[in-house]
Amino acid sequence: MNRKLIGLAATVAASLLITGCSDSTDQQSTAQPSKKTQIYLVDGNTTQYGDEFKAGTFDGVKGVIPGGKSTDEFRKRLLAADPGLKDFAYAVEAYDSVILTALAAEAAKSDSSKSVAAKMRDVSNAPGDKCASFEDCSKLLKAGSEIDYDGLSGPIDLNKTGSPSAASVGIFQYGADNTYQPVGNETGEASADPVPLPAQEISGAAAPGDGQLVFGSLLPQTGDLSYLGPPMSAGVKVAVAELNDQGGVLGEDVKLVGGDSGDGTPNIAPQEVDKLLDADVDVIVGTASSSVSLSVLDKIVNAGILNISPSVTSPAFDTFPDKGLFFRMMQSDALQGGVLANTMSNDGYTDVAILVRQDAYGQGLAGSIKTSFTESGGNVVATRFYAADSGGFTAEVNAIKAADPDAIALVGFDETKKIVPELIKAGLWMGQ
Amino acid sequence: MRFRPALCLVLLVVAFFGAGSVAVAATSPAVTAGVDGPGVVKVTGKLVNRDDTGSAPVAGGTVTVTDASGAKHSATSLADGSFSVEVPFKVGTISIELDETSLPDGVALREGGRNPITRAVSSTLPLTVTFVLGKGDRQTLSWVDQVPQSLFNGLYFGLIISLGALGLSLIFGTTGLTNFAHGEMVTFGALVTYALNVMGADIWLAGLLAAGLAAAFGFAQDRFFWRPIRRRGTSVLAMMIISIGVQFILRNTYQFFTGGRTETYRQYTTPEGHRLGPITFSIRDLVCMAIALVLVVGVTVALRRTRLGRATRAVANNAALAATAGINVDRVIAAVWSVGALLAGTCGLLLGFSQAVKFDLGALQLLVMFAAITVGGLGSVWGAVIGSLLVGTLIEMSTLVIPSELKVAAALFLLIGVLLVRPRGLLGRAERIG
Repeated sequence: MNRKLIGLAATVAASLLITGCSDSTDQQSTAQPSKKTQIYLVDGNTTQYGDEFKAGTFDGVKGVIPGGKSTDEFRKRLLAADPGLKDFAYAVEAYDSVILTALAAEAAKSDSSKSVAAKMRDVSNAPGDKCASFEDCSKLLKAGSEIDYDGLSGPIDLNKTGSPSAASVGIFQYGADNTYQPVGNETGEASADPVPLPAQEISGAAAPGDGQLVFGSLLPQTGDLSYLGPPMSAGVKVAVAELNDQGGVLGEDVKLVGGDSGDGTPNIAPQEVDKLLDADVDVIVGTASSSVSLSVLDKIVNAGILNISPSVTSPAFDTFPDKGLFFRMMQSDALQGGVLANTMSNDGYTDVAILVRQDAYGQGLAGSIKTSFTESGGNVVATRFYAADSGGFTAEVNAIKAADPDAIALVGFDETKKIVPELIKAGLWMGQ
Repeated sequence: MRFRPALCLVLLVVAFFGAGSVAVAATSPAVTAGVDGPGVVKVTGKLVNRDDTGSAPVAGGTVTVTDASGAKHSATSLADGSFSVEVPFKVGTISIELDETSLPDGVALREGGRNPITRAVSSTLPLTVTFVLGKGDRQTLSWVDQVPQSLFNGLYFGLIISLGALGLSLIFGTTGLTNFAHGEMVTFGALVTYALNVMGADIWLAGLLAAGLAAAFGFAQDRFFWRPIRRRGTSVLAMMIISIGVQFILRNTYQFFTGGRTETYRQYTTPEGHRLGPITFSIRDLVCMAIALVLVVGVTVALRRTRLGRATRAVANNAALAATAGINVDRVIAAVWSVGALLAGTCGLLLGFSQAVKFDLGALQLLVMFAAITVGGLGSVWGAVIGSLLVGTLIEMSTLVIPSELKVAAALFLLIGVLLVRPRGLLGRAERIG
């Protein structure tokens, strides 16, 4: 028995070695076909990969990111708030969430959630004097004028369902150093405002405020998405510090209560919302991901609290019965997906595959990419969903390889770092 | 009546995964029509012909756009195949037609390719059209073609996981502890390798040091934590609950230091693929498999041939009896913990290549390892290895028939199936420990 097993093992080991050696000798004859499959990334995974990968690994990969980019000056302020920051994703949107809500509170002359929510569109949209900082805007408001806040993240014109109506999506391309540079930009304004459902209107009288505007942050500090938390938290902190430097809102310093949204497994967000509600917050800033937000939004709006998210993009929020209390700083993925589909089409690809993280974000975005690309006349030859917590992604990459697409749209977050090496191994991507 | 618990478990699993995959309805907001604004809408695209010879841009193709008010606008594709037409903005639908007679000889629409294409205009965002030209150059693989690659990937994954499963099984066999913190020892190996590699150590050196440190970590865990708990006569069930606590403490500590990000080693992260028949693999994969194989065979042989190995099997059979026979049970258990942690750490550092380094790397595979040792037979060494290979292969192969987001569920179905037929697992009765 022993001998047999040892013999078997030795045979397997030897055959493995022989396979390895024989392959390296006649590599030319068995080389991969030279056809290249283009990779496209989305806002969740278009980040600076830098020296984490060998130079050239991402060379030529394209990505799209909606919304604004933080300026160098703003990055310095973020780093002052959190010196450990590694990236700056959604920091400007988090900052604008706080400033815009504070301005709405000033305009409503109340810190009560429903009164503030009723003013959100007034301070973000025309007509009104354009202004770009809390200092300028609040002066205009005190002088009795209407304002139209243009934030660091863009013009922020909220539509009737609380999402930005003007779309600006940047198109980026990676260089040999695995960092991305802008190569284009698609902007456009939705011509018409969506009609809100009855359940999306503010209902009932506003509760009287207590005079102090209290922000609760509900951003990921633990779990799968925790790498998204620090930049957003820093954005919120910078904004709150700026408000208090300017004498606060409604003459009182604003307060910030911290909460952790987690990643939904296990779902700790509902308890954290309870904690924030107990702390009498007027505004909840968060969460970072569509699926976590969808799990707590009912609870927040039923408590009559305003919720503004810097980063959620699922189209599901366009029709969510939010009682008029939910706002977001990012356009719905219907727009981002459209721009990604446009980019693939403009690059001349006709048969594309979509590899998607299985959650509310991935499904929403992949759905809009698929719809737009199919409408444009192209074929989506494979759509593969993966569970982010399944560890490896060889099976998913094989399924994509079997469909042999011209281009792959990779919709996901951090796990892209595991998927791209698999794509390279499968011969679907080899840099440029 | 016998299978009712199992049936309930099946239903639970289905319900759980079913709920996870419920799609969030992606409905776009209703848009009121008829609001015209100023400006233009750009309609763009690129004509590319694809056939057996590869892809080539098509110049000189004429594209005509009929806008919502019926006016026609034309453009011709440039040398790079791109074309761009601007039409006045008006909410409604536009129709884009490619003049097929303008295409060069040998270039035609692919069968089923749409022409003309209609698109809805609702905003000033640019629109694109994709005309599918040529026969196409895709080489798709059928279901059967994918089997060898899936099998290889499954064996690869199974072999690596078997290191972790073997450690788990050894510790269970000698101490009776179902160690839920085992996944964190797997992560430990990957994290230490990553840290050393980033600090400049070569990956081989980093890996060796990490494996050594993992063994030391296992030894220390037993000496200063589990041994005192055992001495107090704590029940196996209580120890299992304690290990769940240890799991959370360790995992959150890792996360505290890594910040939840996915990290990659600085060497061999993106190896080139080689082909042998229908299988694509990298040399790195083969080296990883060889290391795993050597360790698995080494440990199994040592359990049968060495004094310590025989002592281990004696302790696993009956610790009290082994003690009266003069075996130092504590020393044996300390050795088992060290070896188990060494195997787990190695499993982690190898997993780190293909699954990147993250604080929950091992925790995600814990369930797979439990499934593997249960399928193979609790406490059986070869059972752990064969169970891992089976479960790994099944996880990869299952994606050929079921959606890939359910692939881990497939392993659990195997678990249920095996337990229904053979409650002790495949090798549970025939061989205990070695």
